[in-house]
Amino acid sequence: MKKIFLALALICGVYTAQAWNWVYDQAALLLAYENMTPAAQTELKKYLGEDYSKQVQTFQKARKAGNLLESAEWEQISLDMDLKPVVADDKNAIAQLEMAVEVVKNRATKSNEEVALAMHKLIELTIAMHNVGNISLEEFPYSKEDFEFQQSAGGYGKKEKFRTRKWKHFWSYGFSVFHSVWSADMHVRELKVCRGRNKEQYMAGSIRDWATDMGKVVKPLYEWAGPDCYLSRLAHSQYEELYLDGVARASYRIAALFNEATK
Amino acid sequence: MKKILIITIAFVGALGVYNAKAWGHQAHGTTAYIAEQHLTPEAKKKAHYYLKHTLPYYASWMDAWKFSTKFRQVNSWHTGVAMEDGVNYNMKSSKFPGRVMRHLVKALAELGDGKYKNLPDSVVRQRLINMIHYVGDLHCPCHINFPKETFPHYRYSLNNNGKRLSFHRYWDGSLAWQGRGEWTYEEFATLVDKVSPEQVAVWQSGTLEDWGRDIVKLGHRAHEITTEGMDVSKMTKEQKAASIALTDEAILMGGYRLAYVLNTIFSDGNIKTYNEE
Repeated sequence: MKKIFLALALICGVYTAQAWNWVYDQAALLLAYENMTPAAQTELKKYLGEDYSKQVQTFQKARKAGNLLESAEWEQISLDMDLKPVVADDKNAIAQLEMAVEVVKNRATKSNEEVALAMHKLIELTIAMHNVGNISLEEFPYSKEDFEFQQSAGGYGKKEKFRTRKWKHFWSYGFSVFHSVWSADMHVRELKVCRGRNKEQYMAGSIRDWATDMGKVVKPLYEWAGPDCYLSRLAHSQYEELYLDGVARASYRIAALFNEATK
Repeated sequence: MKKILIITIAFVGALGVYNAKAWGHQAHGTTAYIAEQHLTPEAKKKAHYYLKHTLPYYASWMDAWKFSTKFRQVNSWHTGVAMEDGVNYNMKSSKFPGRVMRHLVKALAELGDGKYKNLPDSVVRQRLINMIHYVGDLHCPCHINFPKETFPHYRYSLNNNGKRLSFHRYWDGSLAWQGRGEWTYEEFATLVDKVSPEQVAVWQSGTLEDWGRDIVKLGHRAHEITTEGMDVSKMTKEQKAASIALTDEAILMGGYRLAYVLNTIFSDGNIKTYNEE
């Protein structure tokens, strides 16, 4: 019954968990790996295998196959009016990540499957909590929904054309258009150039601090964004920085979590 | 009416580029990637400092945002024009299309000889973003237009399995038409960038006027390979090879020259526009 409810909820878009374009997720993990301690790298490979870099979006794949449907809830974060994370239960990325860190820390007493699942959480839920589409702000109720908006498709003035897009989908796939043949390695190089200088800042703090960080990043968006809003080409261009920022933050923070959990 | 027609054609053309992963994305990105591999450490450091991104990141910026009202003026900065003799490049064309070289000359005048140091970072950044695209577009074989008075026979279309295909659309998306539409920049660099130092020296020598003559030759070769009415789905092995060779040369020449432009700017030098300067 629960599975049916969750499947229906998924269809209705209540828990529409968002990943990024696959290659961005892979890039985030590759860059994270570069910033892990040797011990963390060893443990990652031990539990997820030598092809660890392809171990992204596994929850998404599982859900498509009808498994782990509850993982859609794990990928969400909610922030209150003061941008403090709301962690009332374990149905959110923050609680799941905190639990996953403990599992990896205590991996000697856990089964391989449990540790592998926890490592997947560290990777995929850290990525998820940095995707604008997964962040709900109490101040802006529609931030929880997947609303439609109008995105510029080019043209000038009155002749400008707009396409109807879904907000959450846009924040997952709307920024890969202009870099469509980029490899994950190319994205890694780009992330290092455009955000490498912020590495220490991104890696510092706790999971809850990171959630508040993202709230501060996302809040100005919702000052104007909402159902039926219009997004110009220029705004799209400017938000690509925000998107990359999310990928970079997620990447360095995956490394921080692995380093912490394998100390 | 004419204006509306031009805008409509440009808009439809851009959508084609956008959808076909054409020169606009893949070839521009590859050109910028090749250039980045051949920057001096100093030039790379400075380019990254101003851009805050890699070169390929901004390779298609001008294509992406030319339809934004704020950047409307850049829409006409992508193509060049040959002189009536079909040998020389029209260096001063102010017509649309035809402005790309004029804007490259202008950008070099603003940034070269160490002048970039006196400009606000944001201005240097925008000029660099534009230049990354200019040099790519300059070398695209279909971005050189030939005067209709002396080259009326260059105004034709191709076809793809019976459907009309513009000459421009084929060459803009030539990597995709050649079955290389999914190649990453690294793949192209690994497989194709095997240029000898002697060839690089030839490409990077001379003035912009000399470069223009090379670009006019690229344009002629494109017309020799894809002739009027040619069905691109039925190209012979030799025609395909010639098409691939031209695309590769255009991307590599553009990439090495973009590297040279940036290396020159960031070593406080400049590139002469004319031989008789």
